[in-house]
Amino acid sequence: MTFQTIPFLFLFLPLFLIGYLICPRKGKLLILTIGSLLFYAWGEPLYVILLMVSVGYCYWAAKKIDQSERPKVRRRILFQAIAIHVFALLYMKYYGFFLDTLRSLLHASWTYKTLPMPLGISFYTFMMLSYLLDVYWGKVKASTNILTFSAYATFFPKLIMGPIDRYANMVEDLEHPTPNVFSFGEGAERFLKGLAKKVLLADALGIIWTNVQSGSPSDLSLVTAWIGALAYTLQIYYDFSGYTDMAIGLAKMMGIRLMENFQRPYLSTSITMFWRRWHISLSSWFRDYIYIPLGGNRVSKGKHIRNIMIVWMLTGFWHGANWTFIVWGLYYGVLLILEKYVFSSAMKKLPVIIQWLITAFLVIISWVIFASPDVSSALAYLKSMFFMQGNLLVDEQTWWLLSNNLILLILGVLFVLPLGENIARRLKQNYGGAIALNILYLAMFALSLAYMMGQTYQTFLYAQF
Amino acid sequence: MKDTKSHFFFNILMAISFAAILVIASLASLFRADTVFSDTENRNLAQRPSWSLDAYLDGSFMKDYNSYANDQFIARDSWVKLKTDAELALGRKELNHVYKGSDGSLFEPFQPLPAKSRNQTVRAMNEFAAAYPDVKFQMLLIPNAAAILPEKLPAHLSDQNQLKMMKKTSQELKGYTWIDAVAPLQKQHDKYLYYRSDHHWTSMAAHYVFEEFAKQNKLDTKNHSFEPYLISRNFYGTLASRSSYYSKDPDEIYMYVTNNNEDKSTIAYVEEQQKSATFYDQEKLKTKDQYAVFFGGNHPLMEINTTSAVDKTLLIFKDSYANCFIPFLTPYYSRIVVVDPRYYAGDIHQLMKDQGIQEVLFLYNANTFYQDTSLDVLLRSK
Repeated sequence: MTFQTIPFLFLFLPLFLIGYLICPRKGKLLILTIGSLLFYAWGEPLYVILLMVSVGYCYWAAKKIDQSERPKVRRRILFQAIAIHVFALLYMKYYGFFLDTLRSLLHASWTYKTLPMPLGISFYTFMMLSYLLDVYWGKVKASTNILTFSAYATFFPKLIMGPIDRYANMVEDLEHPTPNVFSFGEGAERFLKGLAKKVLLADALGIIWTNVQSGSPSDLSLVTAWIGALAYTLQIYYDFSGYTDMAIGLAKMMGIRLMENFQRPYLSTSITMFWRRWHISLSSWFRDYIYIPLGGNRVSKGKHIRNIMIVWMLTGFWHGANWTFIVWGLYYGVLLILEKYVFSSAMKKLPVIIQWLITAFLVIISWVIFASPDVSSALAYLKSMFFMQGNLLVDEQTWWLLSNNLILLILGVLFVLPLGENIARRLKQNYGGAIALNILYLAMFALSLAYMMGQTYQTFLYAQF
Repeated sequence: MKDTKSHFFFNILMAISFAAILVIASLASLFRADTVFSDTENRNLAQRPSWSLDAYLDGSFMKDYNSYANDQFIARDSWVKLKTDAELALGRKELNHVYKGSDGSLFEPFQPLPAKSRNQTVRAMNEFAAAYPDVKFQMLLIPNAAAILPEKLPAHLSDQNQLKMMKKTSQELKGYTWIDAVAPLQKQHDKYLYYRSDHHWTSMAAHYVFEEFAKQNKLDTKNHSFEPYLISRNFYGTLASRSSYYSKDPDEIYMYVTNNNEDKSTIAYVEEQQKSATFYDQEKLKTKDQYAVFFGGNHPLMEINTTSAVDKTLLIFKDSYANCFIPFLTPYYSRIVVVDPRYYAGDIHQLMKDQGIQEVLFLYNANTFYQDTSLDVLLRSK
């Protein structure tokens, strides 16, 4: 079940919220866990059992790690738990990729069967790893209440696509949630904002990208290629940040805080800054559980560069079993190293707008690599973007795309700026404005519903990662 | 930022309105009787899926339930219309795979199958004609609105190449007399040739093309004149349904009748085991799909016995474009057998023999002809 569907909005959500909010504090965790499992079972009728087994196992393992005095036992249990989860992730997500790569290396010709990937497995696995490692390192006490832990592990707003929030951050709110009418209103506002981002902007922008990508990437005229790349850049932002807004909003309605995952990433003026503002919970995960354990930047220059490259190769690979993601990750690794060691002082001397333009340019390029089906089409597409295919500057497709989507693209670019927030803040300053803003949100809700109804359902981009 | 009182007031408003909408809409869809058919969208709506463990485990229950909840949502028509209005406000010319032309006319995109499947159909037709050397074969392929009225298409829509493809087909068909429908329609392109809101041609267009057919077949049309007669002025067709775009002026439907009752025929709908004394099912004018007024829609097999003195039997392979064309043929054939390959599953060679077919006409619109494989399948079946 995803948030932007009628059954979620008008069946699951009202029933769940009524149950959760009316129930006394002691029962809330139970209702939350059951609700989350039902939510997951709707999308994964079989894997929900796997989820329950894994939750129980992680709960037990963390407790053992915490209780045991003997370092050997602690380490053994940790490694077991991590190995099992990493193996499950590798098997379900990367098995086919490994075999394909091996097959082409060995010129072999075997066939194999893969299992469908469970929804949210990449996010869930990282959540569990962070919990186990935090317990092992003594950063957090292992949960002693299976309900609290299951509610954390299966918390439905973040189960499918994050944020990959830490147990330590959430345990207090889960056990002592403070839902009230104000937080419910704030949550509703945030949820509606996310819903609109997803169904009004992301899905419509996605149609442009699909259209541009439907032909051969080497035949695109220059402007068409740039329109496609821009559309995807905007789409992935509205898609993922829209999801995150909905997740944070839903949690807020229950009186639970979830961490922010985006901080206006597209206003960044450097790649370093971009990665502090894009998918924050993932980059901080890699920082805390890979980069720092490897020594971070407190090592020699050579090792530091190695650490950065390892982290970014893994970040790329986390997104999926495709070379495009690995290239995309390495691309960012190289950019970050260059920024740190070569261009940092030069960049800062430039006017801010130029810094921003360079950053935006590099980010758009990265999304082309990211979104292409394979590395060679990514290269062909990039060539079209830089006039290296001998194609036209503009063609009929360009004008057709613009005549259908110009307003949408302009809106998409405008809302990257803090425009909506500023308007909302202004309006909230007096009662008349508050009423107007409320009506605005309801109108946006109505429009979102209309778009949900009028088109076939679009899944989230990040749900495949 | 300091939270002001009006800020809290906004949160309360938001909380109450959001909760109210969730509860009211949920209850309303709970107690609402389900609709079976949507007149606006011209399709059956999804019904409540029945629960079973299998349907749950393979996920089809959830998928079906999702469609059901979507289709049966309160005031669905208004939501769909709201979306279309928003799309139009954004300046979109493509609405749910329908193009909206400059004057509000709607056009289907031309989406031919790959050349391989198209060639197969042509080959099957050629082999079929070669098997009956004594029978006269004719091909009448009707171009679609987008090909005849390119000036009405939205600007910058890529060239759809339909006419080029038709020309190629005319060269590839062997043993067929090709009747050109393009030139007569292009000559009259300022007339009401295609419904603005439907994918069919009008009876007027059919009449122009019939004149060309008569010329080629040297039919004596002097004594058999047809007059148009308005039967509907409130027709919104399939393209309006699909795009949810309803322009202010609906389409009109005409039927063409002879002054001397020559078009009085008996029609047997073989598989339905029904008979009729008229081509027109006026009841259909009360439904959404008014084009079905011609023959009541498509049928697998029809046998038409006319009052014509010309003792000739014609077999037509056709799609729905033929439905408003067939009446023009009645003065010239005593018997017309009509097969719609999309629905007909009988033995075609047996039919040729049993009916003593002397002439065969293929009558298709280009969109269907290049998208459909049922003709190929039927002609190849033994």
